[in-house]
Amino acid sequence: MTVANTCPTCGEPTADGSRYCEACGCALTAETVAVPPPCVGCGAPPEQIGADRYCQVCGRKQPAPHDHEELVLPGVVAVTDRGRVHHRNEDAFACGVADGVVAVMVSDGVSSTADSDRAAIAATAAARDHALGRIAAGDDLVDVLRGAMASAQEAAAAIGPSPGNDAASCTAVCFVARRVDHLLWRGAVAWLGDSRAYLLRSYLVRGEVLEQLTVDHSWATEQIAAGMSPADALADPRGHSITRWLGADAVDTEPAVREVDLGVGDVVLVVSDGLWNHVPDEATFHALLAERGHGDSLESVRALVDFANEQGGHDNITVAVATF
Amino acid sequence: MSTFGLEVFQNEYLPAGADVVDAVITVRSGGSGPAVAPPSSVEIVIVDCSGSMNEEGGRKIRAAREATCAAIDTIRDGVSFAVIAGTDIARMLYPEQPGLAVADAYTKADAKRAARQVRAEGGTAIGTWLEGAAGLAGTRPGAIAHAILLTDGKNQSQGPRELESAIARCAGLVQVDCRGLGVDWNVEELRKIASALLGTVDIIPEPDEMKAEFEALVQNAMGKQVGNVSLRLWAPQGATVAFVRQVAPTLEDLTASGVPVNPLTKEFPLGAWGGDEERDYHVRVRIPAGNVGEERLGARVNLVVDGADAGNGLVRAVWTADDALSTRINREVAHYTGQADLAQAIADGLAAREAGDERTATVKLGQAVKLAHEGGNDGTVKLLEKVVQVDDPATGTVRLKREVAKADAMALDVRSTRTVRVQPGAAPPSPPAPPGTGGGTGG
Repeated sequence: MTVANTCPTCGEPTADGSRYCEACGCALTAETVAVPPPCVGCGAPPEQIGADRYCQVCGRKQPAPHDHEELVLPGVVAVTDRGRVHHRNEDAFACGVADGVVAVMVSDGVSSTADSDRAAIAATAAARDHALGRIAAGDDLVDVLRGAMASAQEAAAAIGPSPGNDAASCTAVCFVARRVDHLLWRGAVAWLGDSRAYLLRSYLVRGEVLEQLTVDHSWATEQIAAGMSPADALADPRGHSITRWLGADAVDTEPAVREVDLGVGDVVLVVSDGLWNHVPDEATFHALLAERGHGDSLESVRALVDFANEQGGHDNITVAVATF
Repeated sequence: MSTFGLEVFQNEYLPAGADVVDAVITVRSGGSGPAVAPPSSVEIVIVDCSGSMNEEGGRKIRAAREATCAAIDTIRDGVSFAVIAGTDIARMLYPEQPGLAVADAYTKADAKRAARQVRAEGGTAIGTWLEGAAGLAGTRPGAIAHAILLTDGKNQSQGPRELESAIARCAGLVQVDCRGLGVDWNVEELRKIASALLGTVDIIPEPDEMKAEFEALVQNAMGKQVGNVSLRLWAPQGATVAFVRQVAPTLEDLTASGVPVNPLTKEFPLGAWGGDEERDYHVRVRIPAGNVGEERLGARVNLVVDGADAGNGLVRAVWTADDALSTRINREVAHYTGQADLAQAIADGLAAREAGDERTATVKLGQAVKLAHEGGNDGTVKLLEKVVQVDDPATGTVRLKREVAKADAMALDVRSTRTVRVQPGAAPPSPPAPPGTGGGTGG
């Protein structure tokens, strides 16, 4: 699970995976304890914040660590946010880069199931770790993805069920890419559920084109494919229920898979429905990217998350972007 | 030993921009622990021996003598006790020298002898009686100190400020239950004493009712197991505690009795508790409004029993854009707000009636009947029916009665602060209807 820590020496934020603080240069070890931040309401020092996360000066409840997390790696930026309405953030991401290797995993916990936040965190971490190991070993990318999804399923299934509750469930999107040469990467995406991956490609003549790589495993999408009108399908209360997922009670965890070639300048965006619900078709999503940026910087990814919160923040929001 | 518990009831969801949060806090003592020796207790009986007690052919002073004996009999052996005869001064009736006697067969027999011989003459200076009792209680620091105070008239031998300073000097030293005999005493005077000294006030209309009342009061005091219970309230910087009120079993405004513990925390004394009591408190805090999606603590509540933490709760504020969440009124809060409105309507109605303003009295007492009916206060409805003719309780249509026994009006006044609890299973009230947009097409 990736966390934005603060440097214990100078207090500046540090990116996970950094071995040295970019601000003051001190060494950060795995044992370094994250310095807790001051109160987000009144700035009172961390000693004034109780174990129940209420500030003892102004009473403000501090966000849970997972309420908002950011990660910056070479070529990858990811942000996950609780939104404005849900009590917890049940989205998660896990990303990894190595020389010539990229892995981006996003998961959206099903909030009607208990502990779905833990399932999403466990699934993404397991998928990333598996993928990084197997890509380095030279495995075929589709095999890597199948193995990653299997690891994710094992991790999610281990979380539930708890007595009296539905088993913890979550969606998953796993994207991996391996460099072929200095101009070309080979990529692949596997998914279960209705979190999405998009490809933003630049063409010399056509200009920018945004393509949705995944197809939602949702009731509405499947009804539309079977002939129902989109208006009817989306209006139905079952419209947004997912038909495939990870978790102890998942029936079919064989993911859908798609391969894609990537050139320099291409961008792959993996997002949860907390964002795409506001821009459900490629045209409106592309317009949003034109306005807020392609997600190749932390500022731009934050701006995309801000957009969802400006619309009301009714769901958790996750945006993870790999730029090639 | 009692085990104590505290529970918070509230709707924590506020609409954007709202800056007030309400909660009802229920405090319970449950006697589920192992039996422990009763704590050290002090019991003082204060009897009005002013000249007016000789009236009605002497039956008042005779009844007072009998009732005092009954109270002495009810005192448990081992309890430290005394009897004060109250006039312009506080005179020791028993023991003879200022001090407390330890109750046993002999001391109680001696005390009853002294009580039967007491004569009534002189004025009424209740403040001196209180200070006498407080002084006696002070000789047993740490004990649960309780007094019953009986008077039949107004505090004629003292000014209001003298009485107030006496009350202030006694706060925290002794808890006093006040009883007014007949109809010539002043409800406000005794209510001030009972409020500040954490006791109750009530009318004893007829002298022959005194004996049972004294026995009941002493019996209740004997059942107290813990002397020192208080509610500690922390509110964040920038917040104001609008009020802290006891709302069950009776209404009492505790707001002014809070003692600062630190700049953000106040401690509200709750007096002595028996082994099986439940009391409710309504707390309202004003806090700076937060943005939608934010959560802030309105207050942290701690129950302190004999100096140790015995339970705590949080009064939370969560700002939301979801109207379905923020317009729900918590059942307990709504109920007790209604109970407070009821007491106010009774007080306003009786005051208007006293002042001869029949129109206002009818309106206010009508509102009271409606609120009492809605809240299930059958007891209060019966008291109101002695003062008004009720035509329709649901709409509060009433007519003032021409002939109202003074005792009935005083009973309503004094018992207006008795509340009832939320009825289990009752549907929560819908949010108050917005003011009618009225106005027709004129003409």
